[in-house]
Amino acid sequence: MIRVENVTQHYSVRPVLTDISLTIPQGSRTAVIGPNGMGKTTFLSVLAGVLEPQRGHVEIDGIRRRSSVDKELALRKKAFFLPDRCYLPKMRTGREFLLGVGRLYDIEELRLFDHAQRLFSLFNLTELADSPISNYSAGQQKKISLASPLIIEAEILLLDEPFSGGLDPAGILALRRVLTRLAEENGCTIVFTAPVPELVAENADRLIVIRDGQIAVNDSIADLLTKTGTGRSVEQMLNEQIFPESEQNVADYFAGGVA
Amino acid sequence: MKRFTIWMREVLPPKWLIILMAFCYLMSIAVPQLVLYYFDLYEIQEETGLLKTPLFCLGMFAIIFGLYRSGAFHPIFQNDYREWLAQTPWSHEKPLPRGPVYLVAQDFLILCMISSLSYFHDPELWLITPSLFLIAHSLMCLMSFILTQEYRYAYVITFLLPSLLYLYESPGLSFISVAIIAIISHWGLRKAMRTFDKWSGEQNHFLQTNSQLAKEMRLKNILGWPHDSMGPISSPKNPTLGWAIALALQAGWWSFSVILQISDRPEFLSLIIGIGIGLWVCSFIPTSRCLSGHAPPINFWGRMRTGRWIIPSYDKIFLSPLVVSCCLTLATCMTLYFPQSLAIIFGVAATFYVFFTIYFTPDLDEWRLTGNHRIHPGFGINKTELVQTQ
Repeated sequence: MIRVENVTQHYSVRPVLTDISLTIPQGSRTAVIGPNGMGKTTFLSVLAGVLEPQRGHVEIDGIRRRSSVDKELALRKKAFFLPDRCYLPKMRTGREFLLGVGRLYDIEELRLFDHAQRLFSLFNLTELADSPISNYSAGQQKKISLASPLIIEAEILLLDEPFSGGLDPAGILALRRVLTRLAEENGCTIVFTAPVPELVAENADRLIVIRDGQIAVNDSIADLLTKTGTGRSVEQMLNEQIFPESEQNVADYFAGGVA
Repeated sequence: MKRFTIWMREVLPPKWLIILMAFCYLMSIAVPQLVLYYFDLYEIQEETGLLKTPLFCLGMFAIIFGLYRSGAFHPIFQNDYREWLAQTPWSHEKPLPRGPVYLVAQDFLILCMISSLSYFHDPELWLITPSLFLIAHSLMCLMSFILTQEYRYAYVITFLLPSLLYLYESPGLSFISVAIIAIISHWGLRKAMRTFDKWSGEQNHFLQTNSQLAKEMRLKNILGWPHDSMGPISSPKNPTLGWAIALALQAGWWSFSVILQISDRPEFLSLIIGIGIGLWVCSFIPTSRCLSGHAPPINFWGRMRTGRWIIPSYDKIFLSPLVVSCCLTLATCMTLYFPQSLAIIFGVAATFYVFFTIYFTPDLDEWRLTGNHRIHPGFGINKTELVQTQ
């Protein structure tokens, strides 16, 4: 379980997150969505320990982030953060990269070899497994970077925009299924950000909407649908929650054009 | 004869090295003679110093042999050998399979031979060759003590080494001093070999630095962001307060001894200015390790506009270079007022320099894992080796 207590963060004078408190239950797939520049990545970075918030703190399974060297090392093994844009070693092969990540996290060698091979199959990268990463296309690079949190078998995955960055439909489908099964069968907690509501409905069971640095929505999708009434799709409901002014903006635009 | 050869082979360097040394020695005799003959310099042969060439050559052999005797036989310097030995039932009472790490009778014979040749070339300076052998051997032992975590022996040897600066004009006294250092090295070696089980294991921080930790660090460096900064990797710890003081005193003693020897030389001032600038730059190295990949919690404009010009929990990393700068400036000013006490001033300055550099720099693990900063990938990313995903 992840607990966020009164977190406030600002880089300059504008607060990006203001006094945020919430709890993310274990085994949930939580989507963090919101308009651009509203603090989704900052929120995930606070969860991941990438930055120390100006105020407040984060606890993972009762252990406070950055509280001591040993605890933080243990948390880094438990919770893996994958940023939206990674740096990958150009001249290493995909297999070398994945095995390297696994070794860094002390995964047993034999299991590592097998798991790496299965990940290449999952993302249709088997033929490229022993080619340098510089030969990979943008989408293939995204796939190999997405394979790295999976190979370390972390209990908590913090993924920043995992479904963007040139991922093809097969890759999106594979990732979606894997995340669902990891949460349902292994009890993994998955928190990811997404720029558009369309990706949320099938990939998440919980939703956090950040708007103006504050939590606008923090609930399970099922409860949200119940609250907002029947006869509407998740997408419609999300659009109303996240971008309430969008429909009006479109209407205003065309109204202006006709005039 | 065959038994003698087998007995000697226990400690002898490889054949090719012996042949090379013999060839060099013969050349060091022949070439000066040829030069003296060709240029007809026999009348001033003493002034040319050409006749000292064989002695110089023998001194070099003594150094090479001294380094070889410890470096090639001590398991700490040979990863494969050490790892294999750890798998066998070997214990310190038994002889080492690759040959003795302690000095033995064969070494004495070889030294006698080199010393006799030295005596033949220069009856006054011949003691330099065995001294050089013992210094080289002790220096390798010193390194082994650091790696085997016998820090006390390493400290004592390092503390005694500057005595040679005071005694170098008297080969006899130098030799006695070196012999004392060699005896301490021998005790240290015995102590280290008795604790083989401890230092060959995983808990040895320096061995981890050499193998496992280095492997992790290499992995970390080649895997890119976020693994380089967010991976669960430990860094070497800072020395304790006691060791920080001990190391600082050691640095002060060395500075005092060296400056006492060179302060009357004409190039002293420029040398000291150069060293001072170098030391000042070096004081930023620990800070740069903390700065690398760790941005302040709020940016520069944020600091200005919120009035939090100083953030103690982040800005503490600048304390060490700041104090060191003050220390060096103070030392420079003091030399102007007390030019006759240069050695003392620089000795004290070096003591404080080392102490502040070690003690005021945050422990890298503490800083990386619990510090008040933002981890960011831009700093130190090697863009020629890494590619950014879209």
